[in-house]
Amino acid sequence: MSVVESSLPPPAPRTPDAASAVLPFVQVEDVTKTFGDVVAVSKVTFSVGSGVTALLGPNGAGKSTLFRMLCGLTAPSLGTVRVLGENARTNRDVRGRIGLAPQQDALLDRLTALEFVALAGESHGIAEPLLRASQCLEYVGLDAHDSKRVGAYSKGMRQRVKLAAALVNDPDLLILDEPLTGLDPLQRNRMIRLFHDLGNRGKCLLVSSHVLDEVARMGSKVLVIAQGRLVASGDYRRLRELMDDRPHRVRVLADDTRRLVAVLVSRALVDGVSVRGDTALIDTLDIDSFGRNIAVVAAELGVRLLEVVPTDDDLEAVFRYLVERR
Amino acid sequence: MNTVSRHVSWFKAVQIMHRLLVRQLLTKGRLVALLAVGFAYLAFATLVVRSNASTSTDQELLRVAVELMANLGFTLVVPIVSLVFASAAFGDLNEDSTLVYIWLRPMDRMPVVLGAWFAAVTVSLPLILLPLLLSTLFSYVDGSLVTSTLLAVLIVNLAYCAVFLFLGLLTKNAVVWGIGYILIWEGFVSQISELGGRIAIRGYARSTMQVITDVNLVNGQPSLVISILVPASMVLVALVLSTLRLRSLNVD
Amino acid sequence: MNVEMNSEMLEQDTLSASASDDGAEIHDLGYRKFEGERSGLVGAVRSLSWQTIRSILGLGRKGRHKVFPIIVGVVAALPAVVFLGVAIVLGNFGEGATLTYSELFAFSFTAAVLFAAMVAPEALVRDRRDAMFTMYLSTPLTRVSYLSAKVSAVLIVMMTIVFGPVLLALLGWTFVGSGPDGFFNWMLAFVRLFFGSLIISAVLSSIALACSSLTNRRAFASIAVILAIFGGIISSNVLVGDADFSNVYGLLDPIGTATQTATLVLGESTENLDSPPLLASVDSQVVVLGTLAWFAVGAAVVVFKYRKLEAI
Repeated sequence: MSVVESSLPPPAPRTPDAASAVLPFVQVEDVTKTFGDVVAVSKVTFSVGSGVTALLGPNGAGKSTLFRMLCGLTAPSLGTVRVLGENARTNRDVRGRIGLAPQQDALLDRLTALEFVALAGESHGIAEPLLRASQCLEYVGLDAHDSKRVGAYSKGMRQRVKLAAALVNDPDLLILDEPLTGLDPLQRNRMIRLFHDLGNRGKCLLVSSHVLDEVARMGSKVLVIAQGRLVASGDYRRLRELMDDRPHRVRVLADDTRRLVAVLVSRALVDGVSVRGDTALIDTLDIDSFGRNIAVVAAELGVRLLEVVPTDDDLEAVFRYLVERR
Repeated sequence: MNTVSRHVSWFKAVQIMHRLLVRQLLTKGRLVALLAVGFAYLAFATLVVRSNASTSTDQELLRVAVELMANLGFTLVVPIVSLVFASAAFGDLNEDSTLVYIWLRPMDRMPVVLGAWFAAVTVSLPLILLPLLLSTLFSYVDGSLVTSTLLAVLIVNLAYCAVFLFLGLLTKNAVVWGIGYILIWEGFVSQISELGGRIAIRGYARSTMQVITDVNLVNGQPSLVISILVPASMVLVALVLSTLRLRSLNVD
Repeated sequence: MNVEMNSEMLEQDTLSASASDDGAEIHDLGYRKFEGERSGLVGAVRSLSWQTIRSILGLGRKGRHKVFPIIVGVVAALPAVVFLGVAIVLGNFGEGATLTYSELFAFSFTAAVLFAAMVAPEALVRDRRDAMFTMYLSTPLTRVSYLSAKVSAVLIVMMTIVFGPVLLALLGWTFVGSGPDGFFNWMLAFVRLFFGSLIISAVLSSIALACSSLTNRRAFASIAVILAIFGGIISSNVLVGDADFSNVYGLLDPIGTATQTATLVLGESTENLDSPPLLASVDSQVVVLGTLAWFAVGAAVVVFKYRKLEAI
């Protein structure tokens, strides 16, 4: 069953909240979190609106700590965290509008999946928790009538149970900490489609991961965190453009590559080049100028361009640059 | 879609916590081990009182049975069984990192604590009462022993559960600290300090039994009202402290 | 990202230490082989033992991890400190007028039992729960040497609680002029106290380690230690004291039995005490056998469980 086929029923009508209608879903201002001498998160400021936003960072960067602060599970040492305009640590109603799938594997192992998700529904004040739990389990591709306890579930199934429980209250803000860990490729595709589905419905999804190609498929909005600091935020393609101290790398294939490259070099359109066979890898700091001129030069020389492909404007290049400065 | 209400009433929150924790706490291992403790007490108490039956008067038998209850039942069985379940109510959730599934819900903290306390009492009280009451029925004739045991167990189990529930929220090593309280505070400090004795829960079981059975267990003339009111106050204080602690807890 | 691009890019990578023609490479992050002397099995046992002691006492961790051992230590030392204080303030009133060492053992036994209930589960249970036991078996350590390290660690910290207070008393009484006369007598008293403490510590450790071998939850192990020891103490007192059973039933009390054996080692008499121990009237050989039995049962349980334990 595909995600689209089994999409959840539309959200229940809720009294519009004037404040949250204009505020971003998440506002983090100058937040620092320390554990003794260890600074886990340092002076982080960002805000997030609807749609899918990926929180990227290497292990130990502070992603989970940031998520815990957003949910109110731990208070920031300094700064303020606002979720839907309120502090989730003290505001009971805001907690009802958050769905969290935590990173840790632990579930209430003596319950079945249906019982676990229904408990989540019941504790969110949902009138028919069993019905809603069945819908959510089907939505994530699990059998609601499975009599096995979740303690006997595989890692991937447990991930999906957590996701179903996070969805049960139809949250405005969905926080998913490493939700794709342990899933097989088919399930990963399915979950990514599901995230898009929810984002398109106006939900705010914050998804952490360090698997970059999957994050790239989730959407282009990213928050990059390294060593507890926010190092970048926004569309990662735009971020690449902002990295103007790092040359763009373009792969060029033509029927006379060496002649084409020689002219490009003589006109100072490239900053570095290496040629192997018919393929040239070209580094340029001015990608716009290079893009405008390469076809013109090729036409002048009568060289036929077979391929012009940017090779480092993907998320991994951006991430590596931001996190490792290389 | 049924997600209209986002508010969970107090009664509902208590009910949810109680149902969940009764199920989580009642593991086969705990049940078997603590039933074994209870029934070891039952066998032991029956043996001791029966061995005295032929040579003792009714009053002497009552004394032996009451002292047995006070020195063994209320020193070991009641506090240990209460400690195991009450400290695990939040302690297990905290240790397994599953407390988040309760904490991050639109429920007030007080009913969550109340539900956990009820759950600890629900599972520990029968496991305590069954062997202790059976021992009184098997070994002795006087109804005052049954009444005093019933009342004293009820009073101190409620109090122990509240105190150890708080301990389970305070530290991940709640059982060791709980044993420390039972052995050092109740067994040592309460013996040498009057104030310490007033804060020791076990003392109120002894005074309740003394009031009802007339067997001398504590110094002075204990009052039944005090024996009920002080543990009740302890329950109140422990539950309020637990609520505050749950509110300020850093959850994994 | 395709392989071609990767290999091309890596040519420029200044971090690379070695690279093959097909582009695979290993970065030199500064790791170095250990070239120093290897201390072998003895070093492994010593290291594991020391790390276990550190873990038990909370050494190298935040203050709150040390609170419990400190409280227990204070409670254990309190009787000795109080009597010494009285002796110092009121002056020398003779060793005979103060507590005997056996009575000091008896005073601090609650603290010792409580400590055993914390120490042994900390030493054994955590390793099994966190699969560290398996990791240790991948080192020069074997099951026997692993247990040797753990047992020695537990025994050492138990000795601090059992031997510490009586040693303090010996030093204190020597300081106020009531101690043993002459160097030889002092050393004799010291050695006797040491071995008396060792007997009590060994019995306590043996029972506590046995309980800690039976469950993978520290909380349950602690409870089991308390139930085993206090169950024995209370049972023996009720049987002998309330039900007028033979004093031999006092052997059900592991601490009483070990303390009576320690009393024999110390050469102290308990006949003139207001409330002599249950085993005071029992034949010495029976008491010693009882002590050995408690120790052997505990040790047998540990050995049996660890022989069966699978390293996964």
